[in-house]
Amino acid sequence: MSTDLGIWLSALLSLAAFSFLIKENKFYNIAESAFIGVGTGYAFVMAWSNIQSKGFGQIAQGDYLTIVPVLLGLCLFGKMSKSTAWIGRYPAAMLMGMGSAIAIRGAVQSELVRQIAATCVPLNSVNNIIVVVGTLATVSYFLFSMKSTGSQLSGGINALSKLGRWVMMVSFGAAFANATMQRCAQLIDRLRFLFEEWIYLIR
Amino acid sequence: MGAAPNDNTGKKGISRQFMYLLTVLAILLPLVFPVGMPVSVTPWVEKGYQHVEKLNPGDKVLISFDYSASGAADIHPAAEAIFKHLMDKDVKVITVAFVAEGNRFPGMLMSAWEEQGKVYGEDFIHLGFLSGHETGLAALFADIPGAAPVDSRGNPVTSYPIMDGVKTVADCKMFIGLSGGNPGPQQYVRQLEPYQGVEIFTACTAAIAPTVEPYLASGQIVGLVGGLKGAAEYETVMGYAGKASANMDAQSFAHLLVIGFIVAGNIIHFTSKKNEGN
Amino acid sequence: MRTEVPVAIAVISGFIILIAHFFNIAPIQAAATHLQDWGILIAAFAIVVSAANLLMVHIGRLSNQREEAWKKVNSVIVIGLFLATAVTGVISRDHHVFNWLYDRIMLPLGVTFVSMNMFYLVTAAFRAFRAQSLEASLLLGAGIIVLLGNAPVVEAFVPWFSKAATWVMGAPNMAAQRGLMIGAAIGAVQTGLRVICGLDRSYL
Repeated sequence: MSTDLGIWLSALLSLAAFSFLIKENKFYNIAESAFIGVGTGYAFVMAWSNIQSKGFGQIAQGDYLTIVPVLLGLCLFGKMSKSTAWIGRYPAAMLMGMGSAIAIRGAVQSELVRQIAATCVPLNSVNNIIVVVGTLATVSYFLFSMKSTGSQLSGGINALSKLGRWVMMVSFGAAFANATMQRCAQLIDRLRFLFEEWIYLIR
Repeated sequence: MGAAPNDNTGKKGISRQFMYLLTVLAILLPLVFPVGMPVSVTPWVEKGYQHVEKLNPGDKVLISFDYSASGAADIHPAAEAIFKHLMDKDVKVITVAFVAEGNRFPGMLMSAWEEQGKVYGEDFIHLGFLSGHETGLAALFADIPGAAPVDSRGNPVTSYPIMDGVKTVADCKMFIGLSGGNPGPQQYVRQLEPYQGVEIFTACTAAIAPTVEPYLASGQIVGLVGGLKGAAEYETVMGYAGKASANMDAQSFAHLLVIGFIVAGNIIHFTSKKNEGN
Repeated sequence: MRTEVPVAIAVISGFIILIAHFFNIAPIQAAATHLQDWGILIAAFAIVVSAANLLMVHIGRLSNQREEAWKKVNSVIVIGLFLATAVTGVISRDHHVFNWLYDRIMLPLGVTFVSMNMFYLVTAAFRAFRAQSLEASLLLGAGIIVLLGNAPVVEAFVPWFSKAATWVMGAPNMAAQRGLMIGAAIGAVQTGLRVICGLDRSYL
């Protein structure tokens, strides 16, 4: 077995976390609290480094316009109390407005125009037919719905939407498989650590 | 998180704990007694490799480490393999993180390569963490020294030789996004749309890999390394067996176990329904 | 004022970013660059506020006499480790204690919490995944093909599983993901425009 204190700490915390599989218990709560404490501290340090370099550092170098975002950032502390929460609306509004615009300007070109253009392929292979029909069917599932009036149009739209559901089910199956692979990789990493670095069972 | 259910018995008497034990054994036994099956390389990993292979010594690449501890086991092996490829080709690497926890990983890689003779500030530099996710991405791509005036060591970025001539992301040949979710390939493609000369290569957790396929098909992303299997494929195409390849046996048997449980559960369910019907 | 000014800020900052994208007007471009840099700073303050809020909650728990002793112990752990990480990290982001805390506590626990889902997945696979309809069968069938195609042990004996998995990912999955992306992009543009035009004020 390892004699490194750090490895022992990691191993015991990992086992404490795994103990939740049996039942929630105090050891699991210790592991959870440790994770929250270190994680919050780490995020704080990273954020503080940004505030120092891009905020106070810039002001110290003579960029006095930076006082504006620093003041707006300090307004966010108003959110910590109900009576002063309204102060936090100003920086939140700026982030929302900016964030929305940044997302829109990229989304239109990269997710609409380019993707629609990429769907326009010649229907000269099975794969191309699946791509075109599958994309149209999925989009129609979300965008179009018609009351079944017995007409050919409503029947066609509803059939296309149903096909879209089937295509999405295949995609969700692939997503399930990939999610399984990710969880599997994480568990392999933990077991390898416990039985290779801690207990020396794996050579 | 609430308390785990106390229901110990599954359908037809298979207890939860027995299933957990089988899961551990399915992973542990191949780790202790490795089989060593070869890993086949999928097209998008091969294409990503070829695009990195086309880089010349001295070309600059921007890498974003956007995964946290919860995605590390899935992506860090890919990060190690891709970083090795870039170092072997003497490509200059500029790293950044838009996820706080991701800030640790460039330092781990760079420390290992400094021991092999690479020089911080000449061969690579870490710009540190930038908050704001997509807003931070947009700010960095438009003005790298402006968005990240000091590096992770607290020194002005313009004082390092590697940053000579680097003003925007357009001064880099490639952007490599290592993503656990947000920011992810969607955000990278959106913000790099104005910079058409910069190729995008991404390694991401297996869970979000299916969402990258449309970008691969449209040519907006040139290659994808998806999860641990993707990392194993990248190691294979590079010609060595690293950490990812070593875990593939365990991954294979875990997959077979999950499929076995799905099939067994369905067989038991449908036969008991049939018997009830009779 | 408490509503109108924030909405005006959202509208103005949104329009500056959009106009800078479509038109090359030097003052607007400069304003957009400044706004994006300010966004990084304000987002950093948001993280500090969330950390401060967490500390306040746990300090409140410690001073609450009616709180259970065990919960107070957990709060001490949270506060203690937060301070240890924050102080060493502010001194230096390369501080060995700062890195040690991340490598020995944060990283192992982060991986462990996610890896526990594998156990739940296995039990769900046995108890809940039923091919009771065409749609469920399609989902399970695609999932099984992709799982088998990404298992090198299986590939060694049945190589076409890998090709089948690549096909599932590259054709039907890609088509569905593209459809979802187009639908989501239309929704995102609509929602974003509503925020920028001041019609959606849910963030207030």
